[in-house]
Amino acid sequence: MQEQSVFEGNPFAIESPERLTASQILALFVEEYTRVAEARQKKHTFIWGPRGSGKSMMLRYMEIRCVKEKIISIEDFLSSADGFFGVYCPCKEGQFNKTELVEVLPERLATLFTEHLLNLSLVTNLIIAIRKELNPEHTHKDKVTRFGQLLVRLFDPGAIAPSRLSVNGLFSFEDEPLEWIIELLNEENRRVTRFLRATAHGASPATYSGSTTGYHDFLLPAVRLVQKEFLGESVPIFFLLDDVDRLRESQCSIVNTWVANRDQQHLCFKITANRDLYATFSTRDGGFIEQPHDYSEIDVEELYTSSSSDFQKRMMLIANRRLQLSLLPTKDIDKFLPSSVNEQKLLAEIRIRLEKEWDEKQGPGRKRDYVYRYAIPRLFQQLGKQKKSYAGFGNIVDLSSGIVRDFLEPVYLMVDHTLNQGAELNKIEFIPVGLQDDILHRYSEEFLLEKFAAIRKGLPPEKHGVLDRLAILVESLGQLFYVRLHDPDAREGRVFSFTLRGIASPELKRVLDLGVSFRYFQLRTYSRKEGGGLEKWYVLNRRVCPKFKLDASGFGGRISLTPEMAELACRESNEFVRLRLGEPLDYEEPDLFTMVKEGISWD
Amino acid sequence: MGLTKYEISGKPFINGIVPDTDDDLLIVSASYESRCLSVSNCLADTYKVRRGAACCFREFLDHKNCGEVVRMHMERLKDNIAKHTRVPIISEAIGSWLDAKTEIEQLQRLMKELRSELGELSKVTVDVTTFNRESLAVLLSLLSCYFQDAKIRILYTKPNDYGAWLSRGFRRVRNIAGFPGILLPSRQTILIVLSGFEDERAINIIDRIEPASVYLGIGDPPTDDKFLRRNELTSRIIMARQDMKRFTFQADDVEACTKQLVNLIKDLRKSFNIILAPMSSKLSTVAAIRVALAFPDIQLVYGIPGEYNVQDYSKGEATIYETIIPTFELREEGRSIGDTE
Repeated sequence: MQEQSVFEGNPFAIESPERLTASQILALFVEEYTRVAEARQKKHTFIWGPRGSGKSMMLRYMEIRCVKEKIISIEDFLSSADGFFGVYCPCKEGQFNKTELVEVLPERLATLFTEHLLNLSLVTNLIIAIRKELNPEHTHKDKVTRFGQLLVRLFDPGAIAPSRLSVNGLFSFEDEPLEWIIELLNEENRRVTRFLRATAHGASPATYSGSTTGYHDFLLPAVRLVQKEFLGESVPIFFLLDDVDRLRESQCSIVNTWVANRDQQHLCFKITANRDLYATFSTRDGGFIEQPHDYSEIDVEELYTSSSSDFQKRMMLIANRRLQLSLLPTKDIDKFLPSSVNEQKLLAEIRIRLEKEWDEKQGPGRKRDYVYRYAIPRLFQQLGKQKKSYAGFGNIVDLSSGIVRDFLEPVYLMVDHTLNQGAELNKIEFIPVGLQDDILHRYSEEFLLEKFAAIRKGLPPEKHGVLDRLAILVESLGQLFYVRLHDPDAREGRVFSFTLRGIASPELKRVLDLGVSFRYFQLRTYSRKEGGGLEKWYVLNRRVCPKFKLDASGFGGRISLTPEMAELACRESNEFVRLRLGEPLDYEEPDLFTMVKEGISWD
Repeated sequence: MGLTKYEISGKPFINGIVPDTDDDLLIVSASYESRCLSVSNCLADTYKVRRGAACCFREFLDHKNCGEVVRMHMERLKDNIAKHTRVPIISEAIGSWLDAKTEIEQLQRLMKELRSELGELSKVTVDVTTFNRESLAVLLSLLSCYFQDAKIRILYTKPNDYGAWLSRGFRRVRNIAGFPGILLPSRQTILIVLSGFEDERAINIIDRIEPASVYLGIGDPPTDDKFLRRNELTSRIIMARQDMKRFTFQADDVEACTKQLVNLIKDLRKSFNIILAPMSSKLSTVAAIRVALAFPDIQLVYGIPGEYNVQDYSKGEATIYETIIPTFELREEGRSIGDTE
């Protein structure tokens, strides 16, 4: 029954996972096709993805408060082979990346205090979770008292003496041992902050007489104490570290050093970050953490979005779940977001014509390949100057380019628009094709106009030139792919990605990196068929498709660009298109692997 | 402490903090705005100060569009102040608005130099007009540490108007060095924004901090009615977002604004982490700094812009505000309210 209250309004609203209750997270999170099972394994895991891809949601789903909501007995869960105790630990702006630690103090000192603050924070969160989520029999007073006494011993007694004195004035260890410990950890946190303040502004050299803690002398023993007293020795604690890309390089190296310790039977770090922003994989002693020896990784940003892809299946479940939880009368997303009947009819006619063509010529290749390759380009060509429809659930999933938020956002706008027109939520049976298209075209245009303007506002002026070149590059590619798609003689028109054959100049690299960081491109690597190593493969964000009138539905191949040609594309769109079209059709055929991953249906 | 307003006219009128007595120190900031000169132009002939100090950012001195103007202002400031010193020595601090470490090092060096050469100071005048907020916070904190018994007089020149934009772009948000605050993992965070004219900058700060809730302050009464209208417009853009609570503060009075902020936070800080982002008038920024000095658990943050409007930041000079803050007294007050230090 509690699910009914999840969405009283627009069910496609995007809420920060931090603001959702455990029952809301459980109601909204779709486990299938997310690789959450992999994340639950007892190893350190990096979960990579851009904003809106569902990383934080996955972490919160593994938090003990959510796990508790969906199981019958926490004892059974913890004692099972898959049991773990998940503790959410966000890296908030200004919590660890304080100016004093990242800009003012010498690195050695800064690292010492960062690790101490991280330890205090993790153990505080762990104790709060123990206090809130475990049943009273788990946290019997004798156990808690013993735990407190042993935990305090992990500190240097002299160093924490002033904090003990201060905490004794607020709590009695005998009566409220857990509160007493949490306050002790808070007080040690305050002492670090006082030192940082004095370092920055003090009239005389600052001295620090509080505690410092490390991994082996505090975090690991504290975890083992928690295991011993409350959870069971074989139940690992999962520290769910969110937004770790906020940490600076030397701070990331602390986390990497923890990961390198491989104490997964006691504690696992589940670390979310935007891969491009994660500062380093080096450890404090100059080593590197490596996959799979030290950690596993999950990339939540999906590349393939076709109907049989995991992403489309997941989006179907997510969207249907939201419909179920809402007042909307339609509970099937395919019916709620219909595609254009006219275009479907036209496409069917084109397919029949292509089959006939192939029958007459008995080639080239196999008939179904021929129909698959040319049907969509012919549709675009036949539409000519008419507006192409991108309406329909599958199309919108394609346009989202594998980001959950980029599917939810336009659909939210569609429902919102309908409500603003005076409709009642419980009477909206579907979103008309015309309205879907209007919103999707505007959403696409916004990505190319307003988004660039917003990015400019958020960039220092020295980067404006790089952004300008990125805008031209996107325009160049959009134009080129449009011409290819609308050329009846093009052997393969359904192209919206390129590989870079050669080494990019620093300037070109800056443009491409900026494009990846603002998601104009998805970056993958591609093994050249003729051998010779990997090439960087840049896939244009399909949100641009309505604006450029491109096909968002499949990976028909990729063009290959030399760095010189890519640089031209950053400067002069028309010249780039003219020269590139003059070149022989140098594109990569989709290989079998691509077809399998993409889930192309040959029938 | 009171607030005095002087309309800028022809006759110089600024006297010593204590009548007929020399000030110990006058600190000014050289900027691309012509109003950085207003206070030094308005020093009464009888005004005397033991030492002058001029601060500036190296990025402005080297700036291709405003470097020349800033260097000229620096020289004019030094000349103007030298007329009022018994020994014509003007100390300098060339800091950085991009590099927090350089800024602190330069201001620390200045404080050490002043203390070693002048000993204890008791009467310090600061022209806050063209300090950026981050630098001003560091400066006032250092003054209160190095010269704990000093009376600090704040002078601020209000312009006739501001340019179409004040700053553009956003590099990042950082806590002002020396104001790290105490962000306890066991608590949710509240962000208090004293809003000004820069909605994008405020939104960037909110987005990056991701607080549990935001208190958006509107400067009412403002230093000028037309500034309030502009602030209202900006705040509407920010208020369109979720989980915003609106409040007003007195943007034209340090003391009143300090009291309003203390009233707002005194209960909140018992249960929440508090982050304070002063983005309104310099007078309200001084109030925010005083509050953050009094309550060290509050984090003071600054959104570093991409660039400042160095060619058209403000127009003219209308009024000079004068107020005296006993910084150290507020520290004591804060302590008695609940600082555990």
